[in-house]
Amino acid sequence: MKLVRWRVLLPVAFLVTLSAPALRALSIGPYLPDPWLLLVVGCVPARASDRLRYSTQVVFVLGWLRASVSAVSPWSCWAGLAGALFLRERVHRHISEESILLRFFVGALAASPPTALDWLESSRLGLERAWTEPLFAVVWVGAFWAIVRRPGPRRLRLDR
Amino acid sequence: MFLPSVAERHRRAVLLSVGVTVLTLQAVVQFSPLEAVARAVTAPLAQLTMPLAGWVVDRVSPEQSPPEQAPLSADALIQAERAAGQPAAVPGVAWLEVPVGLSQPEAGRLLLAAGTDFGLAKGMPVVYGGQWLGRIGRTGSATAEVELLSGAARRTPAVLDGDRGELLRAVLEGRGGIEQPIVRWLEAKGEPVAASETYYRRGATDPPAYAALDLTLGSLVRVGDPDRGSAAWEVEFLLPAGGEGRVFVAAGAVSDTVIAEPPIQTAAASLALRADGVFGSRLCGLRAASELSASIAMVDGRVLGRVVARRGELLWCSRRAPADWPSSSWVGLDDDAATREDAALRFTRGDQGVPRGLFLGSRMDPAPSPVGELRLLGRVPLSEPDA
Repeated sequence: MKLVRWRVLLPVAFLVTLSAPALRALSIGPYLPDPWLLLVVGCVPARASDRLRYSTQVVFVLGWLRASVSAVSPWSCWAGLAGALFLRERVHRHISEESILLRFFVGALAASPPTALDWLESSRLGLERAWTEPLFAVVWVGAFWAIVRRPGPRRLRLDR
Repeated sequence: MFLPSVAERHRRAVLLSVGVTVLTLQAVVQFSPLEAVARAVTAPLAQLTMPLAGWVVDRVSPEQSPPEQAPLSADALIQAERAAGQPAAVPGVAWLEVPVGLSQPEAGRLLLAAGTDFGLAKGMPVVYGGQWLGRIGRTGSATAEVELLSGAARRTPAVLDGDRGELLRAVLEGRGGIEQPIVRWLEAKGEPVAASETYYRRGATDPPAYAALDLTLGSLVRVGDPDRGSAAWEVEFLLPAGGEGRVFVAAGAVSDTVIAEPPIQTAAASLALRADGVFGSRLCGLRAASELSASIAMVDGRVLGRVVARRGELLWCSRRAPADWPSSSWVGLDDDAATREDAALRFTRGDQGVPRGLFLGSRMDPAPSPVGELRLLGRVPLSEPDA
C-alpha cells in the first residue's frame, strides 16, 4: 500500500474540514460518516507501526483540523484517530482479509474508539444523540474498509 | 521493501500502546492544563477554518428565517413573580425585594444575591406572597443565606386551628432533606384540625410590628399510627415556584432602593459557525465581542442555548427546542404566575450561572435559529456568606 503524499492529503483534509459542518447541518448529517476518520483509515497503511512517524503526523494533523471546527476536545480527536489505527493494526494482523465480512469487522472495530469518545464528549456537552448515530458511524467505516482493503491479484501484493 | 526487525516491531508496538493509552486517558479525564494547551494550539487554526466553514454552511444549507412571534416582555416572569410575591402592606414593616441566587430547598436554604450592603441582617423574616419561608441566617457583603423553616432543627413559632374553634400555639421543627417540618410542643387545649392552615406567630425576639403579619406556613397533615402511639402532625411546606426567583425580606426601615438587582454580565456576540463539524446543527459557534464568563446565549431576546465549550474568544452553544430542556432547568408562566407544572411559556429557572427569567419560548417552538441580534449572558458567581 503506497502512502498518500502530503501535498495530496493536506488539501483534501482541508477541504473536508471546511465542508464537514455543512454536511453535518443537513437533515441526514448525523448519520454521515466521520470524514477525518475515513481519511485516516484510508491513507495510513494497516500496519501503522511500520510507518510510525507518518501515522503520528497524519493523526495529529487530521485531529487538529477536526478540533478546529468542533467543540470536541483536541485530545479526544487525537485519541480517537490514534485508537482507530492502533486497534485496526492489532486486529488486522490476526484476521484474514480474504473475507469481506472479516474486513468489515476490522473496520467497524477500528471505528469504535473514536465513536465511543464522541459519545462521551456529547454527554459532557449535554447533547442528546440517537443510538443509531454511533451505529451508522461504525457501519460506514466497516463498509469503507471492507471495500478499500479488497485484496488485489496475489502476484501484486507487496505489503503482505 | 524495508521491513523492520522483530525487536524493532515490538519496540514500536509498546510505544504505540503507551501513546494511545495516554491520549485516551487524557481524552477521558481531561486534565485541565493539557486541555488548555491543546485548545490554545487549536485556536489559531480555528480562526482560519471557522469563517471559511461558515461560508460553506451558508451556501449548502441556508438557515430558514424563523416564524414571526408575538413580542413578549423580556422580564415577564420577573414581573409575574413580583406581583405574586409582594406581601401585604403592614404598618411598621417595609419589604425588601431580593433575587435568589441559588435555590437549595433540600439543604434547607436559599442563597440571596444581596447582603449587608443592601441592609440584610441575621434574623430578618423572609416571605413570598402570603407564605413564611424562613429567616436570614449568615450574611456577607453581597450575599445572604435564608434558613428555610424546613431545614434541620429550625424552630418556627406557629398557631394552628383547634377542633373547638380555638387557636393552638405550637412550634414547628424542621427535619432537613425532603422531610416535612413536624409540630412540637402543641398547646394542650384541643386537637388540631387536619388539612387546616398553620400560621406564623411572632417570636419572643421579633419586633411588635411583626404581630400584624398574616403569613401561612403550610397545611397540616396527620402522619403515623395513633394506635401505636407514633402519630404526629406534619406541615406540608412547599417552596413556591416564584420563591425560587425572588423573595421579600421584612425590614424596619429601608433606603430609597427596595429592589436588589441581580448582577449579570452581558456582551454582544457574532455568529462564527452555524453547525459543529462533529455534532451538526445541535451546536453553533459564537464569537464574543469582549471577555466574559458567559453561560447562555440569547438571540433577539430569546434563549439560543447554553454555552457548553470555550476556545479562546470562540464559544460553542447548544441549540435546543424549549420542549427539549430538562424540567429542572425551566419554569413555566401560566396565568401570570410562575409554575413548575407544564405551561405554554417557558423561562430559565436560573442555575449553573444562567440568570433566571430568560425567555426560552413556547412549548411547541422549534430550536431557535442563531440568526439575529446575539448576546452572551452570565451570572456573576455568588460567594458564600461568611458571618
